[in-house]
Amino acid sequence: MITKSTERALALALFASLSIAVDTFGLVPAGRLGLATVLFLIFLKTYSTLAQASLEGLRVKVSQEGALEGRPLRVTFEICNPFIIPIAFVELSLRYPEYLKLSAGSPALLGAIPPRGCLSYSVSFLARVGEHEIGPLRAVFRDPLGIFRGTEIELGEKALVRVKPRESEKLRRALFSISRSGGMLRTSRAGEGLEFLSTREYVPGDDLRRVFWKALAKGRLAVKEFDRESTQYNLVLLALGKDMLTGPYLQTPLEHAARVIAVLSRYFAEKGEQQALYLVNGDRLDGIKMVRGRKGYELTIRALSSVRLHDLLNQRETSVGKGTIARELLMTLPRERVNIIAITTMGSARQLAEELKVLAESGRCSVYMFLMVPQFYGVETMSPMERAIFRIKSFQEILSMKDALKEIRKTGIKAVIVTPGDMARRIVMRLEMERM
Amino acid sequence: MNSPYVTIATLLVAGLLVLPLFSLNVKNVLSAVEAFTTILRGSLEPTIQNFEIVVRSAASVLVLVLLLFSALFVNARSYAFALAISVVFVDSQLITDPAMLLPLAALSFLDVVRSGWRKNQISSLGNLRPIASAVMLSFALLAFFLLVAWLLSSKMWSYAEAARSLKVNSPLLAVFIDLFFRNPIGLTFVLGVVIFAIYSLSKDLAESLVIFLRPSPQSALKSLRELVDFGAPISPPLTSLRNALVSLAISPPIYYLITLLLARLDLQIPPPYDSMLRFVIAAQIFTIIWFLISRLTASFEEKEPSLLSTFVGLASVAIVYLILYLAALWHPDYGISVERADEVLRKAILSYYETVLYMGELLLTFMGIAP
Repeated sequence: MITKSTERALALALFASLSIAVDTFGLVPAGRLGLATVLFLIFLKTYSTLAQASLEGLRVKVSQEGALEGRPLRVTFEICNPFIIPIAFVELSLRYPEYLKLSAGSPALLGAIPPRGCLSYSVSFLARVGEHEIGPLRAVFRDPLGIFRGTEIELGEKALVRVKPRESEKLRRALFSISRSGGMLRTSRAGEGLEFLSTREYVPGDDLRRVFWKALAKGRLAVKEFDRESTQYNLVLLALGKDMLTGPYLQTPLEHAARVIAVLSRYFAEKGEQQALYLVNGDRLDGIKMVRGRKGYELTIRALSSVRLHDLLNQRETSVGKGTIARELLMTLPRERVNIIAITTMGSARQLAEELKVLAESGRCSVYMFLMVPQFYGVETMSPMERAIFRIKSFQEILSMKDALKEIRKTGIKAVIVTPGDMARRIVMRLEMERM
Repeated sequence: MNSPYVTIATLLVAGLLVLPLFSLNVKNVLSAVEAFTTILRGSLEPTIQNFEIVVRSAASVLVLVLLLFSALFVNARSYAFALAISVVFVDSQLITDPAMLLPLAALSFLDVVRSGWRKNQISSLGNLRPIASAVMLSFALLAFFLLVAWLLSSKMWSYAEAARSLKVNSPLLAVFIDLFFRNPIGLTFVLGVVIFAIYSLSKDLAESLVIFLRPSPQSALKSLRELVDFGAPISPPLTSLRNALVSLAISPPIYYLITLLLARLDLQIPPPYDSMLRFVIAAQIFTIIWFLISRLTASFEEKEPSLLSTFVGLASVAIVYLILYLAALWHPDYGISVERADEVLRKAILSYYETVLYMGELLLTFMGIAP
């Protein structure tokens, strides 16, 4: 409701005063004009007050399209004016996270909304995994001559957008080629199951339902043996921290890790494995408990798309755990043996290893740690000098990673350094070895 | 980021808009240069008129700079200043020239568009029809405002001019007309009061419309947050009226004492201005007392006045009258006289209300409401 006059109003008021003054002193008959200017200003102020009030009563509908990483994420604001006052002009600006890249449209614009009409405003972002708050819109009214300006108000609610990680179909197929079976998993040990393994001589105590009738017909008492079905319990632990967001757009460790976890989760789901995902953020542990199949996959994707990047960026301390993670995990783990797959960066690797040491020592879990090597981009665009410095720095980083790896391995955790592109394969290979 | 196309287009239009005033000032500068050259050749004496030419040409140069600035930065303010300087130094008739005034509004509009229009905003909007229709409608509204403002100002100005040329027999009314309509300062004062009244009325009307037609908690909170006089006392309804009545009750004895004091000091204005002065004193006393009472009775909570405060208020009125009565009761030459005291009290009350009512009647007569 509040409108303020700009410097232009002052200029016009001066002009009006001058007109009235020259007339009252009998120089030029401009008094009418001056008076008309003042009255016009008053009427314009009245209109601005009414328009500002209409602005505050606007109805805003927010909709979104596309929520897959790397694709355009289009957010549309439908702004409708239910009143009979035209709003011209309105300066709109969109509040959105600084870590989101705009791919189409403008984050601010000059618009006008007709009476009982609507204005549609949309912007597209290059979607990145996680949960993002887009909006609300901020609006400022300005009259067409820019003489009065309204106070800034917020229009509508903020849109909460969850972006799913992109999954590589090629990688998923590659993972199945590493695995020995496409369906339920088998081991080379005989046991209860569905897949036929071999026959053996009957021994007392064998279930009669397993008698191999074809062999009995030939006079040999034998029983069928089946593959022992083995379901693995895989718990993925993703250490979140500020350093997970370092790197180029869509190529940060978090995004790489999210893609790997998404593919692994689908792989586990199709295998019928039990899976769980925990996100470690400082001393907080959030995630989903062991779930099997498709539901496990869906919950994992939901958890990944709920990572709040804004919170990560504004995190003060990057310490992991403080001794609480292992305790909390031990309370949630099933009785069966669990494979813990910890994915982390160099920044929080040591602290996470300290936390997981207890689990590795408990004998209930196999703990694997995968340290992501930072990806190097844009090296080709550097000058020879920059490239040389970069090479030295990278070399030093890899050396320090090697030292960290040695330390971690001493705690009983099977740690490896991997590139994001190779991580999923390495994880599956480890798990297959565990199955043997 | 602003749109380069819109920026270029607005710059071009702005250049065209400032052209009439620009060319006028260029002509002025050229003629001044010519005159200057003649002075330098020695064929023209450096007189006051020639000095005026120099000043005018300097003003024109300043105007040209301001116009260049307003064309380059689409700045309406610098155009307004350029126009004002041109009116004062070049040609006073320019102030009523529509060709000179139109660019002021057009530049303002262009500046709003140029500074607000963003590079990729069309891709964000898609359909520009709603914007176009809203802008058209708002321009129609502005045109309507302009028309009403012009009609209203014409009427007001005609009234002022009619009052100026009025020939009246009443000496007091003649003073009144001289003071408020023939005197430029008085006329400015009257116009200021009228404009303020219209402004207050339209502001209150707009805000009331907004509040009653669409109550909004968001805007109410915003208004409260942005109040300049945060912590201002809350006054219950009709407090102003109550304070006005109390002030009217207290004012007469004080007015009487002041007029007495002025008479003793021999500070008297001859007729016909004395009535006007008396009224000014009465009004001033009333205003000061009203202000003081409003301050004293203001509370930070909305509550009914207590019995004590009512008693104190009544007692203060009684004390003022008592002082006047006692002052009139004893005279160093004539001693104590109750009749004289009664007469003084009666005179004090009557003289105050007479003055106020007389001026009220005069105002009504002038406005044509009373015969």
